[in-house]
Amino acid sequence: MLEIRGISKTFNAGTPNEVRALQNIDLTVDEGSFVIVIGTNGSGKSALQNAVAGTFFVDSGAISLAGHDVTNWPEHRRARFIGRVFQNPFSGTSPNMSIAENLALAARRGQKRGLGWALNSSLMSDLCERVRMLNMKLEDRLDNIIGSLSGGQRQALTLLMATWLKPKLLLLDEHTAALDPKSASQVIRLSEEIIVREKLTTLMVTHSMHQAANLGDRLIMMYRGRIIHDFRGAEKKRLRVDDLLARFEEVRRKEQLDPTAAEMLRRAYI
Amino acid sequence: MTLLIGSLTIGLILSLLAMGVFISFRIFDFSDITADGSITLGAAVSAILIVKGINPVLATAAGFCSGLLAGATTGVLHTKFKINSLLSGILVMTALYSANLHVMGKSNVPLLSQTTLSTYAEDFGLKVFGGAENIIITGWRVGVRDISVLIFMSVIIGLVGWILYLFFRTNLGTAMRATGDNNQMIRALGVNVGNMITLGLAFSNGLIALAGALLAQYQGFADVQMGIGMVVWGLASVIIGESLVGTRNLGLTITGAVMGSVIFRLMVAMALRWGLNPNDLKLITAIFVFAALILPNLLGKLRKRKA
Repeated sequence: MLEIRGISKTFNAGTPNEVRALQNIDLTVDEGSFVIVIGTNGSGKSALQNAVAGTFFVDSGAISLAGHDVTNWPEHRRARFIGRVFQNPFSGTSPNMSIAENLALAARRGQKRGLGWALNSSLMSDLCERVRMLNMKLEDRLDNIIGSLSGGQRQALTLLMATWLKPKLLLLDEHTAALDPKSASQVIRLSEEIIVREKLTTLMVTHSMHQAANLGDRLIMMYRGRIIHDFRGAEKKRLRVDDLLARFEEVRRKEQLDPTAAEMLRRAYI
Repeated sequence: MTLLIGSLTIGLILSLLAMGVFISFRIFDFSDITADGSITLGAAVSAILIVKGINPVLATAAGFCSGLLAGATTGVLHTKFKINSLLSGILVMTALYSANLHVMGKSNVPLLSQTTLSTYAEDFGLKVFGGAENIIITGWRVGVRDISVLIFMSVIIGLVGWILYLFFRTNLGTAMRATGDNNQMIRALGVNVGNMITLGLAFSNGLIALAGALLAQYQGFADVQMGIGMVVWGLASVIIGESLVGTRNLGLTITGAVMGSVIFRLMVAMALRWGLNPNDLKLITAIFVFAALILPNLLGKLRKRKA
């Protein structure tokens, strides 16, 4: 479904602020697979999602999605295949438009937008039904503007919008990180429900070790723009929160080791 | 009375300008000052075509189309060549000054002896009222010609406003509104943001050029200077409209822009009547918009301090 071949991306190349966000990453995600991505800050996990979504073009390598080479496709063209939920609840919805209008926009993701009514009657009945399934009592407030909703409600709606037309790939970018614990668990439950029901191919970035251990059928861990661990199948099922924390500890130790090792090498060779 | 009807008519015509400014400034949050040039462009194109003997309806339509092109140019400068939004508008506006002079061939085209949309309306009105020059409305003696043009313009403005409202509820129109509201989201939903901005600016300047075309035919001339300060004028109308009806409802906001434009024109007419120096008009307009822009913030701060 998703094939990433040797992609690299460096921001601010050649300046003191140079960041090598992605370094020669290879990743193949099978259809229907639910992949969790974890890593420390700046490890490149969000950059990986943005590279796939087309927020920026990669410096080298190729990305293919659903049989198309999308490496040079702009973001809006890739949107045909991709549903996205962002970390910031404000990012995924249009605050000054109504709930119904937002959903109507999502109902035409990647399709031609002409002069037909956005809120036509067949969409409206469908809309009511699917919003009711969120169990947030939003079905009576379809005409309210999104700006009047809480973060949790917005993320739930964004999730519904991202999956309204079944996407070939669902990208979740720490989509519960900005929510209070109760809303977060509600949104995560909803995400899992939709992903399982629709058998969605998913790439989910998370900060929560709890989510990482309990969700998905594959887990990759990133560090400094590289994939350093890739657990699948039974191996992924066995992973517990403590195992993940141990891996992070390993990384941290390596990081502390780095300066001393460099000093040792300097002394040995210079 | 003639003065009042005249102000109402000009206010209505300029409400097309207010609608255009509403699209660029409010829907796209794009400070587009192409308007200063495109309103003159619309006036110039329609005036010169009328003088050349083209049917005024076609001439007006051509004026509208010239505005579409001007707006699209600004959009392309901004989205394809990545030029700052304000500068794109300034570039096109500056270029349009020369373009307008070329279109007209001189700095002023008089239309007084020509058949225009206004004379159409006058003739129609005279026919309806059986040739009477004046009629009495609630005790006032009103010129049939004046009132006919006023009614004609109200119908056009009503129609355009209605179409605009309907348009912004279509799939394309909602995508445009969302582009201005949250472009990260709309890109993720597969919309080409650059195209939306270009199309939106085209519509915006099309409406503004239409205002110019109607204004030229109403006042009986097109002048290369007539666009100066028009963006601010349109913005003032939009702001007045918003303070009257709020911003929650799209239909109300468009109605508000029309009301704002009429009210602003009436205020200006009154101020001039009371002896305001016409030279100070633009200054006062600018100060008014300045005040309207900072007042909400200021009031909010005061309220906070009290609480």
